[in-house]
Amino acid sequence: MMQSFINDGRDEQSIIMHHIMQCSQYIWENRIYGNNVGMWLDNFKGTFSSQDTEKKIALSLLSEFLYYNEKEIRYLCRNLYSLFKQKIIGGYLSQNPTAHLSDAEAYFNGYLTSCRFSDMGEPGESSGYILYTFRQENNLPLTLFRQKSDLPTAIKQKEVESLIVIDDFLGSGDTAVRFWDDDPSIQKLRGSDPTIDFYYLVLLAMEQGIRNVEDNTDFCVIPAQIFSGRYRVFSDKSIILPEDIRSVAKDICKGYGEILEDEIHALGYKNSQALIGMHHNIPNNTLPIIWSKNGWHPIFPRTTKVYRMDG
Amino acid sequence: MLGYMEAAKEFFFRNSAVDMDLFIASISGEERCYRVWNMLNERDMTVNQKIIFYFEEVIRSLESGGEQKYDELFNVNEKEKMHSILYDEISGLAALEECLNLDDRDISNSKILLDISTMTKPYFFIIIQYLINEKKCTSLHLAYTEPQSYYQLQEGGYLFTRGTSRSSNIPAYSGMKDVSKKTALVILLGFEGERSSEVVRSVDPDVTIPVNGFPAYMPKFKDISLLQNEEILKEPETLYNLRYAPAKDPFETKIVLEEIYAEYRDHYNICISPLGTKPMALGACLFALKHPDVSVIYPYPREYNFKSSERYSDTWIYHVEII
Amino acid sequence: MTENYKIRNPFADFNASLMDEDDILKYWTEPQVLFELQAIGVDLTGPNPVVLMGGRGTGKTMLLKYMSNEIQIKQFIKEDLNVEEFLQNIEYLAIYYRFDGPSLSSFSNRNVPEVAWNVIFEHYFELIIGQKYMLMLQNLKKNGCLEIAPTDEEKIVSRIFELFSESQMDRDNYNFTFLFEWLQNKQHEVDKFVNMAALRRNIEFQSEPIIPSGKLIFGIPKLLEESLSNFKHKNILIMLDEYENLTEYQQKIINTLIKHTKRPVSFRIGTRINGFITYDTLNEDEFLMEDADYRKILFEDILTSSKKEYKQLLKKITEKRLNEIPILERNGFTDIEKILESVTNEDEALQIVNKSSSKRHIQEMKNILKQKSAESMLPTLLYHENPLIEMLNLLLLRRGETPEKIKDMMKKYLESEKESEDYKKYKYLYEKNKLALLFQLVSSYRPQKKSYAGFDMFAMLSSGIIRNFLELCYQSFNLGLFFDRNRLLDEGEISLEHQTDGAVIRAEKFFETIERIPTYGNEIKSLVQRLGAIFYSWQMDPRLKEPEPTYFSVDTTSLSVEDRKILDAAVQWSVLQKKKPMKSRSPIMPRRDVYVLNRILAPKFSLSYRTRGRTSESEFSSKDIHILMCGSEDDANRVIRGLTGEKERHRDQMELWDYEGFENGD
Repeated sequence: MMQSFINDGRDEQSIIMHHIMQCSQYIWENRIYGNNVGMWLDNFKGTFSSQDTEKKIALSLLSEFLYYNEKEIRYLCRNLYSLFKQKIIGGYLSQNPTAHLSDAEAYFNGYLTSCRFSDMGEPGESSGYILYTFRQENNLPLTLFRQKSDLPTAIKQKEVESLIVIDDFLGSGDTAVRFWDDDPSIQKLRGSDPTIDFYYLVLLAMEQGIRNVEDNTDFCVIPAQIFSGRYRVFSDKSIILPEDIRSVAKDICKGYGEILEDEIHALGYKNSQALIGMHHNIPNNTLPIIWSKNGWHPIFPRTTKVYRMDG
Repeated sequence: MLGYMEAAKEFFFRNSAVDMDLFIASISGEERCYRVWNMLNERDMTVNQKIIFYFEEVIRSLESGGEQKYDELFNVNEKEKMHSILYDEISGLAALEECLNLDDRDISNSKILLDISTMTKPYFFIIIQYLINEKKCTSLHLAYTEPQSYYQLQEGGYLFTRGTSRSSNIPAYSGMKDVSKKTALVILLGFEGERSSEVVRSVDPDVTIPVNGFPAYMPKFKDISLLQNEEILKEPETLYNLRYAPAKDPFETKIVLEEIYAEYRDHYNICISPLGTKPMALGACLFALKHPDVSVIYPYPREYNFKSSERYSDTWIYHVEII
Repeated sequence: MTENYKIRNPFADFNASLMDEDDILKYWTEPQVLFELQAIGVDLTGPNPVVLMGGRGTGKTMLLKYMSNEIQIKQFIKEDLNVEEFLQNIEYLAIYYRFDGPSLSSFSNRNVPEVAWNVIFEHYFELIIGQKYMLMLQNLKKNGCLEIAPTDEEKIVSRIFELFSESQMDRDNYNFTFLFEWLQNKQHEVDKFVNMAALRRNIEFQSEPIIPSGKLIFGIPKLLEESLSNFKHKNILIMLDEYENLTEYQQKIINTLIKHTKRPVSFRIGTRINGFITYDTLNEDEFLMEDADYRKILFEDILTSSKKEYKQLLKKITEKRLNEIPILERNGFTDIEKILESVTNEDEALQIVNKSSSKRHIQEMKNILKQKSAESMLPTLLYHENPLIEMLNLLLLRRGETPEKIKDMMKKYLESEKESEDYKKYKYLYEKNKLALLFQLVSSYRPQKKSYAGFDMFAMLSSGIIRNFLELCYQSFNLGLFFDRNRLLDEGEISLEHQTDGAVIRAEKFFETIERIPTYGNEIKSLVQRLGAIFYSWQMDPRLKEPEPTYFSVDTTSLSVEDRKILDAAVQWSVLQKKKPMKSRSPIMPRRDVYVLNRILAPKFSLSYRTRGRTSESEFSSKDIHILMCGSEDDANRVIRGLTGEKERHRDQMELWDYEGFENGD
């Protein structure tokens, strides 16, 4: 799990700190320096284990943090479009097994004109930011991007056959399911034409969230990157922490998490146990010890949504 | 050139009634080397002719009786076994040509499936160029099976090769240099950082453009490959130049390379080193075929680890159409 | 407090190849020593060929590129001089070409006979240099350094064609650009052939005309000299870099050109040590001879011949880089010597001991005294102000010296009784051994580490390779900027700890790359790993038979051909550095070649960065060397045990190494 670049003469702490330094330089956009780490570690007062143990575990967790920087987010937007295209072409080839690829390309180009891309949340939220980036990275015309409220009219006029919703993170899937169930525009769309295809394109998705959305909506989920159960920090199959420290680590994170958030979400929204962050935000599925500001100095602060806790 | 990738299951399901004219694969110490062959058989697809490369270096590394095991797994007769040397692609190609009487045959419209899962990159590079440029094949199917997991070194690194024998251009991919231009080296990043450093040392480029496999087979791999290549990324301009291409998608990789080519070709000779995944390397191969002025450099190792991964995961089929 | 904004590491880009012409000009610092080369008969700009040998990062490429016409013109312009006078003011015009190893290896495969490949390569090389000449002329014209009428240009180009083609080409607009493109097309015919030769059997190279070796290389400069007054009395230097990338036959071709070079052309060859696979030419019984056919500059030796000058060069180079960072420049933090915090051996020893509650070295002294029933003498042998004095006393005890004698010697030393023999002896022992004693002290206070810090230390570790020094600075700055920005940006200092960590990181990375050395990487890595263990063991010898051992000697004539190649490769890649052969103990015994482990590796194995002393232990047999390079773990461990086992030492042998001298690195 850990990359070791320094000889065995150095202690483990130094090795991990060096690794964190490298992550910050090459992946985390230089967001943190040694003093940030120091201030964050000072949060751990030895409340749930010895202070030394708490700090060591905190450092181990930090060294395993999965961060998607701006360039990577932009590229995921590109990749997402490519996956969507593959999906459509695959469908075409299934119907037309002997078709040439050039036919499939032509089919996709035609299909695209009847697609409309939209975000899921309120304007100014991360979903909206991703939608903009998605359009930019794939050079898509503005005509394919509509306010959700305009869509029923477009469908009436037979302009639209597909709605593609773009999002950055799918954790538990609750937000997407709520969107499907409660959003007035979606209700209208579903009511106006039962043949409409609904796609949910998401940059990063946790496995349990994908299952939730597919079980409870008609969305076809297309994720650019999937996190299996192995990426839940304290799961039995976790590849984040070795087994011998998992239990102690969980107690520590849970303990502080309950102070910072609440019992249910002590290890991330609905016990997601994620250790993931993005350039533009840290999802609340990630352990609160990473992002919380409630009397806590976060290492990767989160910009909160005032009106609800989502996942 | 057009390309499309799909899951092998879908491909074989759709094409179960189709005969395959030619199937080419190679043995290794890994299960995934016969995965595609098994899938073909599960679908009762007919293969008119097959060639399985038995590399001497691989055979030497197998336990006793290993060769016979692959004879059975692939159900090969002696004529279908191509004994070759891994480090001599040119002779291997010549032997393939002779074996298939390709001098006299027109295979431009044949249905060919080449399994690159355990074939070394130089080998499939030269075979693909031969099929497309020399034999004018209008379409190709290439198969690749992902490993389930890679073996790790104790320290957390990943070992696929050991040492360096030489860094040289892959045969038939020497490019055409313009002496008035500088050199831009595009490296498809792998896990073995020393190999990237070795390539940079050999080429001595004026600018280095690393391409990280992202999204990767597993989320964490994107970070591992960056940190393992720290030595070349520590040059600020090189880090600034960092691009991405999906680890399992050769066509997207080709698109990224086309973008780099358009940006740099006016003032730079472009050289590529495909150290990342095999699908990415396939993308580099298709790109280089379209741009014969581009050279492809490969750091040939002293030893390959023929059992660097265990079991198998998804299998992909890549359709290439030459238009 | 300094905020968390990004500061560029001033040492992040130190690869000459990645520098464009402006960067090379910006960072160029002329080594004073180059001016002195003429004194030994080496004229970098003169008519005689010069071979520049050195490891990667010694500065050869930077020098060769700096001399190229492109950069010299830019330098001229930068100095606000009249470009029209450029040609009048220079003695030489140089073209730079780097041999691309990966491409050169394509000139060989079994589909084409070797004889044909050799002809093709000669033709190819002519085309390359011909193009380079045309680019140089275009560059001179473009920058206003060369005024030439179109008709004159046409005449010159026409005459160039006549050099290799009997038939006249019927064309208008013969100019340098046309000739460049024509040569380029011919070159691309070769490139296409090389690619096709991999795919097709029995293929023939068909291109006309084939240009014989030397026709353009010598012909074009001669024509220019005859045709253009500006080109009279100018040397045309062909700078060929990375000569080691050529195959043996390719080197023979170039060697022939060097041997039979024709005015005004001269060659400058940049290569690693042992980069010449052959000195033969194409003519039987003929080969290149040093001094007669070329002069050689050994970069590492030249740069370190004067430590003072080497350090001055390092300071100048780093100052330029530090000035590029606004906050450092603003605060006046541009002297690398001041930025790299350092510590004396004595202070470091004191820090080590004071950090620990248990005084382990004193405990050991106590144990020895107890055995001698002299425990009461302990207080007289202590000197808390300087633990290295205590370590010396411990060493003398281990060697069998009596406590009373040690006490007397120490007393005379501390009281500066300079006339006494005891003072002189003690002082000598102290000065010569204090670093080695410090290493031993650190070792007994694990997990504390020996620090590798300070400008002098980094200069030593760099082993005459400028790039190594810059890399050490890079790593230290990296750590300083991340872990202790305030200290660096507000106080202009990097701590000992971060420098040491940086040195360890650099050593590790250097070690990791060894395996990738082509062909012999595994063997060299094994050798280095095992040498590290041996040297460390010697260093920790309680009786300190070998004070600071980082070298070994061997009679290379007794090695097998393969083992010699491995050692040569190790030298070529600067893993080992070859020093002057030692005098043998007896006139009839062969000289032994001395190999020093690159000092950059010292932090990895916790070794001293100096090379001292001389004993029989450092003389390895050819069998030992072979096993250390190629042997199994078990065999190697046996050899290591044999080389590091405790041996009986007599006191008079202590006198032997005290006064005989092979010393290096002080």
